[in-house]
Amino acid sequence: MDLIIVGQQLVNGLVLGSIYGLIAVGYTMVYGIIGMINFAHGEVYMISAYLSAIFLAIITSMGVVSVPFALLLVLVVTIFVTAIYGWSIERVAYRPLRGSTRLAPLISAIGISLVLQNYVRIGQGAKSQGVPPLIDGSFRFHLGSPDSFIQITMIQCLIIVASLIGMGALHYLMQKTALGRACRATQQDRTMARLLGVDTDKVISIVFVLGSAMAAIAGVLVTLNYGSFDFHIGFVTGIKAFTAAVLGGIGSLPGAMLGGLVLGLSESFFSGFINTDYKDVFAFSILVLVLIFKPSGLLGVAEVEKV
Amino acid sequence: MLLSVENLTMKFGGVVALNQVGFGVEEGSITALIGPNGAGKTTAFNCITGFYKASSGRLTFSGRDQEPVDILAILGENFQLGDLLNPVAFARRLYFKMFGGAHRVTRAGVVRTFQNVRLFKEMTVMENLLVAQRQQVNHNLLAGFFKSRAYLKAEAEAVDRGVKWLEFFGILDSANRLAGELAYGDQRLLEIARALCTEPKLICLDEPAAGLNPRETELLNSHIRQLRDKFNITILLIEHDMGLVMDISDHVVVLDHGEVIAAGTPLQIQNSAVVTKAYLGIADDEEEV
Repeated sequence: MDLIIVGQQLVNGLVLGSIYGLIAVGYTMVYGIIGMINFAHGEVYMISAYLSAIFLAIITSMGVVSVPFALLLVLVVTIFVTAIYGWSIERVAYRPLRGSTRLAPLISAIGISLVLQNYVRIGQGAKSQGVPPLIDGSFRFHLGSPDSFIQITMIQCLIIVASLIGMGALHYLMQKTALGRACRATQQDRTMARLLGVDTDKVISIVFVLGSAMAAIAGVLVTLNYGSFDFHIGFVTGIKAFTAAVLGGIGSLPGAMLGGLVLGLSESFFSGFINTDYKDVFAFSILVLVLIFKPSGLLGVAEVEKV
Repeated sequence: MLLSVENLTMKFGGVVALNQVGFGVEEGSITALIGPNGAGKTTAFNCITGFYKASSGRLTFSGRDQEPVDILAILGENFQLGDLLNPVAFARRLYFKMFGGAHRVTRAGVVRTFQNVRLFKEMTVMENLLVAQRQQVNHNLLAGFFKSRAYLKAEAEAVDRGVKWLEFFGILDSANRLAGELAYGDQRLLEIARALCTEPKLICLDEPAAGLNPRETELLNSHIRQLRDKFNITILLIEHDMGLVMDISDHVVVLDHGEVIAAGTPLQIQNSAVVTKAYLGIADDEEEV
């Protein structure tokens, strides 16, 4: 019996962790490149959840019946529109304040976050919205008797696979392409990169766009999985993803993925074995402990003061 | 004239670091900028390469197609009253305010190195060189992701160019090591190689010989000459090693307290009373700004 719960919580934890990881990537990339935390990133995720529901309605009303095709279309369009939101956030909240104090963009990002929340609340209503389940079916792994099994739904599989692909693609982009090289150079020494002809403003915009695209993948998948969302989901999920980014070592891309998984798994095991009500408390306790004992995170490099 | 500096003024609050500086750099020459500490040499460099926005003056560079480039304009100037009447000038300024910046100066053909080495230490030597060729390998995200043919071709050319400069400086063996692992002397050479990968017409070297031993300085000396003679690259350098300066320069400009006090051939400068006085006469050395 216990083995069943462990297995089931492992599955749930992996799913949750994948989602956290996808969102954490956005925090970690932005921090890596401009050294600031994008507090509006949770809202980007929330908006992508709404966008995916809207596009789903539009696309199905246009007569697309094939579910995989409709989902692919929704994913592509949501990523695209969410990326525009990410780009605009950088343009409005960060770029005009570049070169001012470190606190100014932080505050403007919180401002943007409030604006986006209320914009969605007024536009879409404060009630939680939902989409009907589109994909059903699940795999069951029986252990012994017929009514003890570990269940993985199709959507959970999709979440794990999609986030693996998304993160793999992002890692490849950062490590193996000219654009990724420019990003890494900008991350290490922005002024020098610019003096070597890299358009660092454009690179920073692209980082926001990529981070938002990852959050959009998470948004679409979560909408499909849980089926309901409201204008407020960006906050808690955003903060948790941020915790994951810090846990993995903020600024490090593999760290964000690892941090997401560790947080997702530990949260899931905590709620499975100890107490569901205190799972958020547990998640944030992890953040506190990491900040005290290993501020650079699991895969982060200890910060060296730049001269 | 490849670069002409006219009335260049740079103020930091009330401090005038450069006051109406004017000099020119001939195409195909080695020009040295010298002067006591705090004379404003590095500030002049910073203005020329777009690291700082000069307070006023005019910097004209003859770009890749011999087309004059106004360096201050492409950094993004402030709007002026006259722009209200002249929509073309207004649009131009708006464009450069939005999309201008130091990277455009580099793309026009002016590149610099720093006094303290500023490599991307966590990237390999070759990656350092490839970053500098962003302009040549400027394909979009998808082309890079799916490795389009044009992208691969540009990338291969970029690697070839990198290899060419590593070979020139004799550090080809280190191509796949992390830049931060190289010996100090090699790091300095790599920094010059990286700057050269941007395919500049003018390279500005800020104290290239600082921290090098006499043998390395000798080698650097011959490298700099070859850059001019073999690759037709114009060189502007700041240097404290007077032996090196007098040996390789065609033209020397002397700055003191933010003003040009003398300019001429190395021989003229060596015999100039004003220069001797600036270096030895007055004892009020300031810290370099």
